[in-house]
Amino acid sequence: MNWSELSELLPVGVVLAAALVVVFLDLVIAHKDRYALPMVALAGCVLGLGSLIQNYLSLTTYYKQSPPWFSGAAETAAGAFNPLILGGHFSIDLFGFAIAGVALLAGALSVLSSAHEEDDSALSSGEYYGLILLAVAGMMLLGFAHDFLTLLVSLEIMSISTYILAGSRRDLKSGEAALKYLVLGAFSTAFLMMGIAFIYGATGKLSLSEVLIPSEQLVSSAFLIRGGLALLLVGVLFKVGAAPFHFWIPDVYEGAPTGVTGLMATGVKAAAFAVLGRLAFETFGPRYAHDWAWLFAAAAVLTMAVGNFLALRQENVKRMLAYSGIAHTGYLLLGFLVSPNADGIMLADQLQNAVFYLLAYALMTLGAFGVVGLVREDGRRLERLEDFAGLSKEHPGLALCMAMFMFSLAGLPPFAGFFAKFLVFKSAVDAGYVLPAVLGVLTSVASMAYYLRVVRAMYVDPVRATKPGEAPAGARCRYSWTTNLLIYGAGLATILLGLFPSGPTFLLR
Amino acid sequence: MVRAMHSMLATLLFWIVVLMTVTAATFVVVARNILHAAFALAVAFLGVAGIYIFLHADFLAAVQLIVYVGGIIVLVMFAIMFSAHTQEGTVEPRRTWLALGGGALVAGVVLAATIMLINRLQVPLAEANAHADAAYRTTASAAPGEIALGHVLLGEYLLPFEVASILILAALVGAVAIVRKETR
Repeated sequence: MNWSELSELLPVGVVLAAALVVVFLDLVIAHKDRYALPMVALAGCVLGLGSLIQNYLSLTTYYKQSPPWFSGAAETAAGAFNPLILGGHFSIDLFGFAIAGVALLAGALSVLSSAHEEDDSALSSGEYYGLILLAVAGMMLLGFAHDFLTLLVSLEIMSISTYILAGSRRDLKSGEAALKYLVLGAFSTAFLMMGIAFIYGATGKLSLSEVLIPSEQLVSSAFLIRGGLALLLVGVLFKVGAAPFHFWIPDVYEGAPTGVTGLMATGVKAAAFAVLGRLAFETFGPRYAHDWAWLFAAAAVLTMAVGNFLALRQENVKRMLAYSGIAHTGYLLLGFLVSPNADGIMLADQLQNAVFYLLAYALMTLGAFGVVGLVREDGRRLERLEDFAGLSKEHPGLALCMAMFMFSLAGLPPFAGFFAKFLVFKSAVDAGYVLPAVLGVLTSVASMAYYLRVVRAMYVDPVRATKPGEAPAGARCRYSWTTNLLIYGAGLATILLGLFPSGPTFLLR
Repeated sequence: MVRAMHSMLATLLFWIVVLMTVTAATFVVVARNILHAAFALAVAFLGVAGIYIFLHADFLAAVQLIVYVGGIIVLVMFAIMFSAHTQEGTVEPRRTWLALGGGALVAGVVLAATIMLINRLQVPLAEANAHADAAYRTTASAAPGEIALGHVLLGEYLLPFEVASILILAALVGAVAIVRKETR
């Protein structure tokens, strides 16, 4: 093992160091400014992002080409870019960089949306921000992980941190969310571990791209390997929140503090999709597409249907966004359908489209959760649809951003969500899965019904008096410059990504 | 003759251990007193360690004893005794027919899958066991398993092994976060 390659993991090291600094700072500073800890955590994420970009640039300069999208697409000629580092445990490819970038973005934005929660001491403690950073470090490792052992350990770093984060508010609902998340999450990890144990037992290999390389062993113990892969897929579909393993999502998303919900909906989902993507593109690849892609397609169709249908009936905005997150998992799954005769270029294109979706989804979802976290009255959090009535009069800027996020989530042009959906539907059609893509478009049209209900509540619905005998007043928001920064930033990015969808890919070249 | 007796004795012992494990595991599920369930869990863990010995996984058996019986069970006991609800002591599980049926269904599916797996094995299980037995007897002294494991863990897989320390760090910070939340 070449230990000098450890420098490629420096971004993860930066985030870890920031996590430790935040935890210690909380102990050392006696009278702290309430923005001290969030700012350190934010600095950790920004420095991590800087270090990630620095790594990318130095790799590109050194090899005179950008890294391949995944390790299977790398050229094998001598002197060509070899993304597998540190004995093959990690793969520093574009997919990994993208997932790590989305994780850092989600971490930074959820820190911003948590900074105003000073009335709940548990949410302003060093441990809270330390755990966010640890979760982000786990997500980044997961993005680069290229063998089952590294993958499992990274997944658990992320999961354990988020279990505790989900329960960090001091009320019953938050505790319920944490307990449900812990029990069901541990259950899914057990499936994942069983699957890995089966596969390792049958092949004696742990590398994601090697376990299914045709061999005599693969034929003789095909049954064991199939069983293992099925268990593994159950575990992964659980983590991304695909139907029929989605039951934990609404309760957990609703009960967790809003900043944590944002992180779970975006960063955790992106990292879980990193596992799914590596399985689909590196382990199965076109060679096994006949065997597995139909399963992904079935899960995608079911997830889109369940998520969109159940979201229609929600009166709580946070819960509605949770079901919307399930629906978006379905759309994302469409982006991971591999054609049996796909070549490296097509696979790279597909992966790029899926990553664009993850980025766009992260921005609009974190923005929407940011707005939901601000709407409150007398310190009480208000999450019901009717509580948003009149938001456009009291806080026109926030209402405008929220409307934009809703339009974007529904997939209307010219917002980022439109291109994101267009790109994954396109990759599904290109891969030959026309029917799932058509169903995707149909459910996406149906989804407008519940996204537009939020817009109607903010702009059209009459405001009601909060107390009898008082003049009716629109929804009130707590003021927080950090959360406003997040909301307006995400809103701007949603428009810019929609107007210039090739922007991120341009940066890569 | 002696060998046959020896083998029969080993089989008898094996079934005793299996029976002990399954009985204890069943008791964990049906026990009303959570402390009794924890004790039964310790017995079940002991039984699993015994099964590991029958599989010639001596090192794994030792790890099972030290980590699960010695460590985890003690922690579970501490957690039960320190938590405020020990006075109530018992839990009243709701046993509906749906839950019973669901559990039976899952157990049946797992059993069927296991039997199918064993039947589909390329080398029959009995043959493989005899082979492993013979290999175990001919190897001088202890099996090289733990030595190889150490080399792999601190060589090829050192990095994932070290990444696991971040996992422990996350768990530690999380434990502090939960405790601090309660005391504030």
